[in-house]
Amino acid sequence: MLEMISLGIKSVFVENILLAYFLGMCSFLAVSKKVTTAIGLGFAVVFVMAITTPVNWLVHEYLLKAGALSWLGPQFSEVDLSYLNFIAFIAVIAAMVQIAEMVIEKISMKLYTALGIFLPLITVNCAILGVALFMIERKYTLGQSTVFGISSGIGWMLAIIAMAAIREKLKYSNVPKPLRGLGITMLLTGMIAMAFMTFSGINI
Amino acid sequence: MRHSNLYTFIFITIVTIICAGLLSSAAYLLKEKQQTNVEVDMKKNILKAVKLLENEKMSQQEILKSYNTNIESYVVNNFGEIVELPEGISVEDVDPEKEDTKPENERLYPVYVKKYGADISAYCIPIIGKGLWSTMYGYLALEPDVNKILGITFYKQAETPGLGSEVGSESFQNKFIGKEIWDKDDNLVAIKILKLEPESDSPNIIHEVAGISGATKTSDGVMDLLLKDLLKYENYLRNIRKETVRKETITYVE
Amino acid sequence: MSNKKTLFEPIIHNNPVTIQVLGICSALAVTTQLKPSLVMGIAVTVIITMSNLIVSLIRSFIPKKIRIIVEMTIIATMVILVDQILRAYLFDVSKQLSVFVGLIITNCIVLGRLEGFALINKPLPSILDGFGNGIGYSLILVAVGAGREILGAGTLMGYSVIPQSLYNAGYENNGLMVLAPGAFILLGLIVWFQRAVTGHYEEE
Repeated sequence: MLEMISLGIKSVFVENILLAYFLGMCSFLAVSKKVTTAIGLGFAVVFVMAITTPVNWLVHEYLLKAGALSWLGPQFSEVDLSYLNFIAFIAVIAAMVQIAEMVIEKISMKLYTALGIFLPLITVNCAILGVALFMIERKYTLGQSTVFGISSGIGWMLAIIAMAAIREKLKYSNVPKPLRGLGITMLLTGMIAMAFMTFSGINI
Repeated sequence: MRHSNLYTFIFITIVTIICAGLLSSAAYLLKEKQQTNVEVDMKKNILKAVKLLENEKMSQQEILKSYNTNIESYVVNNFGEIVELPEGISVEDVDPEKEDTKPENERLYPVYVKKYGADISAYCIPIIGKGLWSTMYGYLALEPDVNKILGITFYKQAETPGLGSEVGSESFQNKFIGKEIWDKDDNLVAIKILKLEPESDSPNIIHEVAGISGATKTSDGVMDLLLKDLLKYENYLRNIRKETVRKETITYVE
Repeated sequence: MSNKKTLFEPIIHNNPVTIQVLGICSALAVTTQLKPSLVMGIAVTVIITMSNLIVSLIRSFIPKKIRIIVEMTIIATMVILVDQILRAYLFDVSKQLSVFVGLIITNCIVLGRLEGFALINKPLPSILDGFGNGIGYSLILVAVGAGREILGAGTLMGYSVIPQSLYNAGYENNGLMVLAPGAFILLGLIVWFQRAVTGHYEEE
C-alpha cells in the first residue's frame, strides 16, 4: 500500500509526465489559454488514462507479449505478437476515447459540448501512449499500472491548470505582438521545466 | 452523411482485417531476413567488443566468417562450470533475458571467447539493463586476466537521441577501455560513472569514467547493469582468476 | 485553393509547428542533434504523405463516428510497415528509426492533416498538402536541431564547428541547450522570429 502511495506521489510531482518527460506537449500548449477549459481537458485526460492503462496492460499481458497466448493451449506458447504493441495500444486508446465520447453524449450534453472538441486531441496525446509504454518497460503489475496511469494523468492536469493560470495573468502584461500566444508560452514552459529539473534526483 | 451501425461495424471489420493482414504478412515474409540481420548484428557486436571488427562496412559473409574462425562460445552455470547444451541449441540461442526469469541454479550464462591459436585473448559476456526509456543491450569484453576491460558496446537501445543514446557512441565506450573490475580486496566493483571527468589523482580512477552530461538516468543504468551482470559471472570469473594466478606462479617457480 | 498554394503555404505561412501548434513533442525529443532531426523529418514527411493519400482515397466511406480510430489505425499500420521493411532491407537505418516509431504515430501533425485536409479533399491536393506540411515540420526541426547542437555541443553532424581559439578565449558549450529547457527557449525564439516576419499574430 505504502509502495503504491509513493509511486503515485512520484508520478504526480517528481517524475511529472509533462514537465519531466515532455510528453503530451501539443495539447498542453494549444489548450492552456483558459483555466476552465484546462480543467475540462485535464479531467478528460485523467479519465482516459485511468481506463486505458489497465486495459492496455491486460491486452499486453494476455494477447501480445511473447508467450502471452499460452492460456489458449501449449501450442500457442511460442507466439510473439509484440510487434503489434503500438497499433494495439493506440487502437485501445482511440476506441476508449470514442466510447467515452458516446457515453458522455448520452449522459450529459453540457459536459459533451465542453469536452467534445478536446477528445480527438486526447487520442494523439503522447502522454497516454507514453504511460502504456513505460508500464511495460518498467514491468509494472496491474495494480501499479493503474496507479501509475491515474497519477500521471493527475500530474498532467495540474501542470496544464498551472500554465493556464499563468497565461490568464499574462493578459495584463505588454508582451511584444509576435511573441504573444505560442512564443511566450514556450519561453514560460522552458522556465517551468528548469524549475522542475531541481526535482530530479529525489528518491521517494 | 450518417451511416447505420451495421455499416460502421462492417467498415471497421474490413479495415481491421486489411491492416492486420498487411502487418502479419509483412512480419511473416520478412521474418527470416530480419532474423539474419539481428544474428549478424549480434555477432558483429561481439567482434566489435573484442576488437576484431576491422571496419563498420564489413559484409555479412565476412562477419560470419571472422566470427566462426575467431570466436568460441559456451555456456556456464551459476557455479561457473561449463555446461553442455542439449542437441540442436546453440550458445547464440540462449537468451540472457529469458534466463533471468528462471530459478538461479538453473540459469545458463553465455560466454564468448576470442581465441588466438590455442591462447585465449579475450572473454566477452552480454550485458543488459534499463536506461531512462528503454532496455539497453550490449557486450563487455575482458582481457585474459579478466580484470581489465578490453571493450564495451551497446548495440540496441532507445535512449534520448543525442543524450542517453550517446552510450552507443565510440567516444563514450572508449572511456571504459583499461578500467578494472576487481578492487584491491578481490571484490567485483561497479565502474562508477561520474558527472565530470574523474580527478587525475583520485585513488579510484581505475574504476571511474566520465558520464554523459544531461543523461544521468542512462549513466546510472549503465553503472547498475555492469555490476549486476558481472555478479552473475562472479564464480566463473573467480575460477579464471585462480587459474591465471596459479599459472603465473608456476612460471615464476620454473 | 490552387495546388501550388496547398504545397507551399504550410512551409512558411501556415507552418505546422509554429502556426498550427502541432507536433511539439517530437520537436523537443529528437532535436538535441542535427542528425536525428533530419531522420525524423524525412520519416514524418513520408508517413504523412502516404496516410494523407490513403485517407483521401477512402474518405467518403469512413463513418464519421469512428473516423479517429480508423485514421489512427491507418497511421500506425503505415509506420509499423515501414519499420518492418527497413528492418529487413536497411537494418542500420531501421536501428536509427525504431526509436522514433512511437513518436511518429502520436505526432499530432499527421492526425491533424488527416482530420483537417485529407478527409475533405481529393487525393492529389492531399498528397501535396502532406508533403508541404512534412517539409515545413522538417525545416523547424532542422533549425532547432542545428541550433542546439552548435550551442550545446559545439558540433554539427558530429563535426566540431566552433574553432578551438574561441574555447581558448574562454567560450564554453552551453549545457542547458542540450536539455529540454534549451529546446523550449530556442523554439520560442524561432516562433517569435517567424511570426515577426510573416506578421501572424495571436490575440489573447
